[in-house]
Amino acid sequence: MKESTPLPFWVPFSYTVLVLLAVLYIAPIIFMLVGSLKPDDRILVEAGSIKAFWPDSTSLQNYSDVFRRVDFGRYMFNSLFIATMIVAWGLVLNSLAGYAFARLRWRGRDVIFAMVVVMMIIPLEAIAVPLFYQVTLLGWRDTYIVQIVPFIANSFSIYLFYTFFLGLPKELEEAAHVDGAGVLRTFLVVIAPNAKPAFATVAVLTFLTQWGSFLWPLMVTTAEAVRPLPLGLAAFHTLPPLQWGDIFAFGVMMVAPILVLFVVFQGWFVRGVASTGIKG
Amino acid sequence: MASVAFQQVSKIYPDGTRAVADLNLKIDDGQLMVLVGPSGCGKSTALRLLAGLEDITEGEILVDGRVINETRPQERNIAMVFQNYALYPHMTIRGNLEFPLKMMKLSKHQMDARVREAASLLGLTELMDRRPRELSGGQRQRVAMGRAIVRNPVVFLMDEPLSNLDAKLRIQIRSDIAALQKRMGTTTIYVTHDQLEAMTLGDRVAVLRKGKLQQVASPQELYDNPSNTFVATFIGNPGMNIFESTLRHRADGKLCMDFGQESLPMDASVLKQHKQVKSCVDKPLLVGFRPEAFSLQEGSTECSHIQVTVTSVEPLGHETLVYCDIPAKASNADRKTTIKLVARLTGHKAIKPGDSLKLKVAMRQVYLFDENGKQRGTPLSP
Repeated sequence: MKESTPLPFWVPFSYTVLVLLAVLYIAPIIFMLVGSLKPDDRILVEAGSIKAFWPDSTSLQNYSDVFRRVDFGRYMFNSLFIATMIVAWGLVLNSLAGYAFARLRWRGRDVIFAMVVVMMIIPLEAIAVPLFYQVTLLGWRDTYIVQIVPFIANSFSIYLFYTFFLGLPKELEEAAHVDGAGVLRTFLVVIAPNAKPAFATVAVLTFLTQWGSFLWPLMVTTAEAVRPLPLGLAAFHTLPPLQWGDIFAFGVMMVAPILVLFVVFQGWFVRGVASTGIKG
Repeated sequence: MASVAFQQVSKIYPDGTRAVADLNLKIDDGQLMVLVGPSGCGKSTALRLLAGLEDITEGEILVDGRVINETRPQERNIAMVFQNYALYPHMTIRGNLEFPLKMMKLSKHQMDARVREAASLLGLTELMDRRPRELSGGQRQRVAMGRAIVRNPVVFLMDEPLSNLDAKLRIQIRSDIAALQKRMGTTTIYVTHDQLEAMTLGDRVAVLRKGKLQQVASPQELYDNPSNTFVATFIGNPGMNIFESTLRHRADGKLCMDFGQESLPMDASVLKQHKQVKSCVDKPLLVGFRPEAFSLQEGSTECSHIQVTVTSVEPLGHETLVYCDIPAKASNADRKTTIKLVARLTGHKAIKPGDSLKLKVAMRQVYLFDENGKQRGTPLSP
């Protein structure tokens, strides 16, 4: 009988490390979910024990408290509206830009593309103040526009589309041109349908970034009517009395949509990440 | 259908590469012209210039007498079959065939009729609802052909359409393409690096090298009357044997041709045939023999023959290709130790590497080229 080859010594070790990492990442989410189902007085008492991860008495009281104490629906709508608009417009504009950089020949293309790449390493915090000044001059403060427009064009998204389009066979476009399609039609009918993984990746990444956006909305909005969920959570946190159960319930409801989004697009997202060469 | 003319066409890339140089080529209405040459000879670039996928640097391309240099690809009404087929992977076969018709804004009824006709012509009717990835290479190739013919274009362009197929399928589809082209009568330009494909398909064949047109003629004319040593060695499988040689008068006054260590006499008929021979005496010269100009010397007759050493043998059943070395002349020893040649012998021959053979040389079939490789004389008809 053929003897089975013993596993290399590092395999059990690496699995142990991976399991520990997984626990480390998932523990706060479970703590939040379990805490959101507990009465407020139990949360802090059990926080130091294993019971923090086990709901022995469950209730949805904290969730109804959230809706009673703040206009959660408004925050949720604002976040969804802002993120969806940025994703939708971003997919259109950034994919077209990525295509123009990857495939079209035009004067100054390489210089402008270099500038786009440089833009990727400049964080929002570095340009927040001049941008704030600019939007104030435009009279955009306390609007949805101010939270949407500056984030539609995104150098990282352009770069992702660029790398994906570079990998598509050039003959596809040439065949479309010879078959009678112009540049825009070729993009819409031939290129875009074959770039679904790139679109999914950019959509998910943009949505995630915008969903957690905090600094910029804080700078440019004061009215609760246009503020997104992260600011709602911050405001809720400072609203007396301090109720950890309610805050956890708010957090769970805030995280749920992005988990759903990720699960729905997981297949495309993974393919997109693989084909555009993104590294974590 | 239309005629096509390249007039002094050049394509120079930004890095200075001259992919096509002063190309002058006329393709008559309904003709199948094959562009053939080794990799990098500019044949695909010429095709892409005609399709509008590359900009022309110099010269003009005319379709039916109309200059199309500035016309966009989608307005040229030229169809192209790509090397890797370039089928739209997200569309069904029907979608692929309908795509160019949609661009022409045909009615649904007209589209259906044309797609049905093309599908039935190419045997695609059963595959219409499949996607390209579900088809074999041969089927994809037929879909690519279908997408080209469905629009009734004025010119078909085919860029090495058979190179991704296995040898057997290639032969079958090659004859299908020839039959289809004859049936439709559409002017066709076919690019290939395979001289066999060029010879079997083309009404006329244009041989290119390093962007320059070497010769354009019918396949038989190319074989019988190559304009230079490049065409002579490229056309034919194996190509022509070319040797450095000199013509000189022997002591007895007879003209002879040095051939390695051999010196072959040129008889009166050869001299009559090559009227310029006398001007070549004592000058560097290239001589060419097709592999079939050699045969096994049997017995000891007085005709011209050479002594060779066999290096390898390819028995092909109906013929045997024998690769041999001829010892070089002593004075050439420092430059080239041996001269290599290939002989095509009819039938099966019991020859093995290392054998020493006497090959009879049909001197009437000699080609003469000047030292630059330009032809100086063709052989007599066999």
